Amino acid sequence: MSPFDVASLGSARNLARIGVIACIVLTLGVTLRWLFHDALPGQDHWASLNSSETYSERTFPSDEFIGSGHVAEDARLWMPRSATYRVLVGSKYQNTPWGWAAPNFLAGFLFPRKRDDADARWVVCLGCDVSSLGSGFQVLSDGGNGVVFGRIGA
Amino acid sequence: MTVRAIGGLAMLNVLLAGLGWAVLSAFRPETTRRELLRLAGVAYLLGVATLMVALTVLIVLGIPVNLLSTILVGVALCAASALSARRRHGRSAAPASIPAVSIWSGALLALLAVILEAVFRKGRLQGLIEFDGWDSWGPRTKALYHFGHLDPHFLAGLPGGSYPPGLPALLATGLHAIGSADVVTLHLEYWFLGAGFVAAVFGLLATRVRPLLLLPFVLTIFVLPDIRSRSVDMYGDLPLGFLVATAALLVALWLDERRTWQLPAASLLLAAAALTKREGVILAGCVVVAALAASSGRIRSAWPRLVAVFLAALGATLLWQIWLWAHALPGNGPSGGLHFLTDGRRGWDSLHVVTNNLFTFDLWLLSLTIAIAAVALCLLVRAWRLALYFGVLIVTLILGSTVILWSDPNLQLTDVNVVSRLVGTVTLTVVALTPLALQRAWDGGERYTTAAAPRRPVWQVGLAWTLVATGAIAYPTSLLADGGARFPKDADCIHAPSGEMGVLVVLGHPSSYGGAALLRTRAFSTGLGTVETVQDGCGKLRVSIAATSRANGEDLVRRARAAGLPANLEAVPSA
Repeated sequence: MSPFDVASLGSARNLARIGVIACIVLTLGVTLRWLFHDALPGQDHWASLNSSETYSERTFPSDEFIGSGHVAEDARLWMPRSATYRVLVGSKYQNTPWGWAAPNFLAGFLFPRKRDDADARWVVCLGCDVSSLGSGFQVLSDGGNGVVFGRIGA
Repeated sequence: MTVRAIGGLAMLNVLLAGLGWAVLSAFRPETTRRELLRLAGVAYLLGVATLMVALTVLIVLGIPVNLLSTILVGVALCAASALSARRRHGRSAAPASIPAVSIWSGALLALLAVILEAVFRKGRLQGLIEFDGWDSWGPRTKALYHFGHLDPHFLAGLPGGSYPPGLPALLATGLHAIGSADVVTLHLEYWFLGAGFVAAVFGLLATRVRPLLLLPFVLTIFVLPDIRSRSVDMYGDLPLGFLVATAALLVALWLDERRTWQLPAASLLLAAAALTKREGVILAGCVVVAALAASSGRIRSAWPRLVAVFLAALGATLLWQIWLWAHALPGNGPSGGLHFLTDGRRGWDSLHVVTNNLFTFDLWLLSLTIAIAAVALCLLVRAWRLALYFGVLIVTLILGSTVILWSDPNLQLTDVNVVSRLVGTVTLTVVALTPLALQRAWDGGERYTTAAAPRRPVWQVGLAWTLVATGAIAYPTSLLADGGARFPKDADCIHAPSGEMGVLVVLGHPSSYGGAALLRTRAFSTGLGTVETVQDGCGKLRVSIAATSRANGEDLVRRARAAGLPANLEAVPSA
């Protein structure tokens, strides 16, 4: 960068250059401060946390949103890849994350298995009335919080 | 989560850069090899944009999006681009050379390498725990990966189901490259997009802005707290921001230089932006309105081309809209149409929230303040066109973000996270444009060329590049000294017996209850004892028999093996 002409410091061009220097100094100062104070430690923190997580911690969001990671995992391990399944949400939970978020998580997690609420014999029940599934419903996994997975018929 | 998975994803991104190079050569046939190297970031983003548009066309036409169709489309586009480039102009090849950077620039580039490596490290093992990631982007990506198409019934029940499929299609291609539905490693695709954006801004401005004016802003991208925290999250916001910001920069350059390739490249990026998130078309409109305002002195020559840029984005939106209409799905616009306009109060509050967020230091540092100062400095030196474009762009992007927030009553104005994600595009755009504006102000409104750059002694250039190499090597080396990178594997859930710990006789770690049942039946017929089947914590099952002691366990292992069962002694896992 060429030096200023001090005599014409008040010219528009030199005023602009002073402004540019101020902008660069500010940006560089703030960027370097935040790089070492926040960005690098922040990325390091998350990298260490991600690295130390278990399979479950990395795979399942909180049960508050998805019902039960344990039951979802059992559902994946039970159902063949070509299976279809139902997701039944109890009326009490329709307007909670179990109603509006858990089925989406299950859809993504259980692919390539497909959801079919009409005819499927595999059932993920999120606080639903299990007795309504009839005596032929066999519970295969129970999250202990009203979330169960099972199969209708043998 | 393996080296192979990362390698596959890296290979895909190299191929995307190759596709982009072909497209860039078609737009800019006179490109030399040296320029191709400098514009590698732009080429990469063009490759990404081309693939997103092409795969969306396949989806709309009902052609399955799988590995084969993606490869065929990529090869066809490369061939067509190469043919077009060859027809239009013979390329003059020049040997690539290393830019003559100063020691200061070398130091900043070294820091840039370190922050990019840190983001990579974070993304490598990030679980799919972001809400929108597992609730919407992840399921759509996996649906395309497994089935090659999007089932309208599936989309109907999904939040953001009407969102265009460009990004999920790109991510599904990433899963094919990885070789499985490994949504953990897939987070690294966001790293590639971010690195591509950084390289694009650097490459576009390297010959137009002095390094000391440019590098602080390139470095600041992943230092901005809100970009830093979302750098590899599986959302659409950052890819949208990268595409819009690069397009806005290309339009700024076109307003000044009028090179024929700049607007087609911007059009392609904005079309991909429109296929990334539904607000993409609004943000594309913001860029074009600012460019129209800045070229009001040459309406006849500039406006039709700029309108064509917007039409590219609008066309991409309509392409997807047609698919939605054909499948009787709700449209891409606001749920209540234009009814939101009657709620003036929410409109005002939205403007207030957007503006407030953009000036929040803890989210965006001083990016917007510096951008406004840069516009003022351009006005001071009478660099009218750039000042007008940049100034109007800031205003239109703020208003555009306001309208996006205003029109969707489901978005909570008090949700800082939602608002931040929305205004990230504004910030990325102003960060990309500010160095250009500052350079123009420094040169008193004149255009800077690298011919004016001082020649540096070889030792200085060598030292600068040594600094860059040191920065790039130091960070991974320090991690290796700490034990190196960990790659999760199934064996993590096999615990070797030791000391006083209880032991189990493990008959296997099958990947389904069906496989576990087979082992169980065989163990039962051998009379080994009560068999237990539980999740092993690594995505499989552990089929085991409890042993009363190590000696008892070793005895059971002998009996099981004699019966042909693959038994092993393992420690009882801690709770």
